[in-house]
Amino acid sequence: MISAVFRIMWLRLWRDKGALVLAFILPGFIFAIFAAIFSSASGGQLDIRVAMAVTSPVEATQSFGKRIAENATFSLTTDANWTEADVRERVRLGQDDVGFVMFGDIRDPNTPSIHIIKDPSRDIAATILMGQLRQKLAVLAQTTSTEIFVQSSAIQANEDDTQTDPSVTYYIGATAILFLLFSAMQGASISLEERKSGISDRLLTGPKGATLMTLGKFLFLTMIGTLQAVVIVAVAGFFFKVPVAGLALPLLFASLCAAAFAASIALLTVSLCTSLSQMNTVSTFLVLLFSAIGGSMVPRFMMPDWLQNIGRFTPNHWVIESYYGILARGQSVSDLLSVWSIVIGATCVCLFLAVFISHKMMRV
Amino acid sequence: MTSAFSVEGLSVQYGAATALDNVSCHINSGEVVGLIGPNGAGKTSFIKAVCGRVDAKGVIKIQDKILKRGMDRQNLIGLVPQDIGLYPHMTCLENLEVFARIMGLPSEHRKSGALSALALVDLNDKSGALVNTLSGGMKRRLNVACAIMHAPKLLILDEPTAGTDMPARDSIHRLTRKLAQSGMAVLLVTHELEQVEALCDRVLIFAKGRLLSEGTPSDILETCFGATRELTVRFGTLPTPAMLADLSPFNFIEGELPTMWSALTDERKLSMASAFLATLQNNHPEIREIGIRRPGLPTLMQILEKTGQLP
Repeated sequence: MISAVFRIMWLRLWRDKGALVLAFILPGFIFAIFAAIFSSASGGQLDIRVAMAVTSPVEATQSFGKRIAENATFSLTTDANWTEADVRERVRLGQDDVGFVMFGDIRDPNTPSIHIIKDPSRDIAATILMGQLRQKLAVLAQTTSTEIFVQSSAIQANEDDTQTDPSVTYYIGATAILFLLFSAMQGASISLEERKSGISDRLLTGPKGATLMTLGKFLFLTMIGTLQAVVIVAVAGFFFKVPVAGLALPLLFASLCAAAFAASIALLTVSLCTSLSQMNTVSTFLVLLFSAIGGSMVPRFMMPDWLQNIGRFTPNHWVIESYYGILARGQSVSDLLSVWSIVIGATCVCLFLAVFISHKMMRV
Repeated sequence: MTSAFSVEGLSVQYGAATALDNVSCHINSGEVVGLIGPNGAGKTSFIKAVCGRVDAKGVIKIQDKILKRGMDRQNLIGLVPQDIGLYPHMTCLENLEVFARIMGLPSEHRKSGALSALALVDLNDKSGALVNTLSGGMKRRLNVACAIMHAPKLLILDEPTAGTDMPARDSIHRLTRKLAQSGMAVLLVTHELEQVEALCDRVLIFAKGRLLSEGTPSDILETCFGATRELTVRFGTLPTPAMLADLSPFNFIEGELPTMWSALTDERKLSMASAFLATLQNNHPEIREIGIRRPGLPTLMQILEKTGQLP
C-alpha cells in the first residue's frame, strides 16, 4: 500500500506543474533573495539613499558639505538651493531613506549644527547616517577615534572560504523549513480530496488502511522535503559559496530530519481538519505563525525576550539551529545531538498523533 | 445458490443512538440485492459495519469466513463509493493499477487485472485517458471497475448511477447484472426505486436501523399492498385549493412533485375510481394525466417515509 501511495502522490506532483515549481524551483529562488538581502544588510554594505541640504552660510560647514558630496559612502542626492523643507519632503515621499540639513557651524562642538530628518519606519537608516557623519567629522577634526574599535567574529571562518556570510547560512535553515512546511501542507491536503471524493471509503476497507496510508504519505512527503532542502543547500553552495561539500552527510541528515518534522506536522494538521478550505486556512496561519516567531522571516535575536521564548516551540527554531550549527558554528554531530533529538522526538509525537487520529476517525 | 454474504444480529451504536438494531440478512452468490430505506434508515451504517469502518456487534460472514473486528477485508469486498472515488490526475489504467496494488493483487496480475476490468466496463480504448477528461457515465463505469479487479465475493454499489443520464444508467445496470452472473454477491444501495424493481432479485427494506422487510420486489409489494391499487393524477399547473377539494372522495396525498397526487384504493372499488377519475379530468382540463396502477416501491417508500411503517 505504501508504494501505491508513493505512486499516487508522485503523479499528482509531477502532473501539477505549478506544484512542481513550488516544490523545487521556488525554494532555491526565495532562499537566494533572502540571502542576498540579509547578507548585504548584515555585512555592513547596506546602501542607503540620503538627501542633503546645506543652509548654513559658515564656510567650514559648506566645505564639509562639498567633501561629503565628493566622497559619499551612500547614495547622496543634493542641490545647492534645497532647504530643510525640500529634504523633509523627499524623505516623506520615500524618495530618500533619510536626509540631513547642515544649518550651523560644524566646528562648534557645543551647538547642534546638523539636523537629521528621518522616516520613523526606516530608523536604521538614520543610525547608519549618523555613524558615517561622525566618522567624517572625526577625520575632519583629525582625531583617531575611528580606529579605537577592533572587530572579530566568534564564528571561525573557513580557511579556504572567506566569502561566506553567516546570514546566508542562517537563511538556509530558515527558508528550508518555511518551504518544507508549505509544501508538506499542500501535499498532505490530498487526504481531504480523497475524503471528499469517496476514495478514502474505498481505501479503508481494512483496519490497516488508515495507518498505512498515513505512513505512506509521511514517507513520500519526507522524501520530497529532503530533496527540496538539498536544492536550497545546493543553491547556497553554488551561488553563495557556502562550504557545503565537506558537510554533505550532516547536512543530508539535517534535511531529512527537517523534512520529516514538516511532514508529520502537515499530516497531524490534515487529520484534524474536516474540509479543504479549513485546511488551507489553518495551514497558512500555522506556517506564517511558525515562520514569524520561529525566525524564518527575521532572526529571533531581533525579537523581544518573550517572543524569543515562544519561538523555541516552533519547528523553525530547531531546524534553523540544526543547519546553523553545522554550517556556521561548525558544531559536530555530538554537539547537535540534543537539537536533532528534539526534532526527531517531536516528529514521532506528531506522526503518532496523526496516525492515531486518522485511524480513530478513519480519515486518511 | 450458496450464501456468499450474511450478517446475524448486526448492531451499531453511535453513543446513545442506535444506528443498526439486530439486523440479520444474507446475499447469495450471483444475486443482486437492493438495500433501500428512507434517510436515517441505517443503510450507510450497514455498509460501514460490513466494511469494518465502525465497531459493530453481531456476526458478519463472507463465504463462511467470519470477519472479526480489525480483520483486513479488502480482498473480500469491493466497494463502489457514492462519489467518484478516483484520482483525477491519473489515467484510467493508472487508477486501476494503484487500486489493484492497494487491494493486494500480486504484481504479475495487476496489469492484466486492470485491463480485464477496463474491458468489462467497455473502457479499453480509454486506458490512457486522464480521469478528468472522461464523461460522467465513463467515470461511473471506471468507479465500478476499480472495485472488481480483485474479484471480490461481495460487491457493494453505493448509488452507482447518481447523477447519470439514461444510457449511462442502463449501461451500469447491464454491468451490475453481468458481475452478478460472474458469481459475485451484489448489494445495491440506491434511492432509485424503479430501478431496484427492475434490477434486483431481492430487496432489503430498512427503517430506523431495523430490517423491516426482505424478499423479491413483487412479493414485498404483494404483501404490503395485496389488492390495493394506486390512483394517480398529474396536474399541468400547481393545483388550486378548489381542484384539491374535488379530490376529496379519495384520500389523495402529494407525491414527489407538487403536481403529482396519488391515492390508494381497494381493487373492488376500481370501477367507481375509474368513473371518478374520468369525471375529474372532464371538469379540470389542467389535469394532464390520470392513471390506475399496482403500487410500486416508490409508493411503498413514500408511505414508509410518512408513517415510519410498512402498509
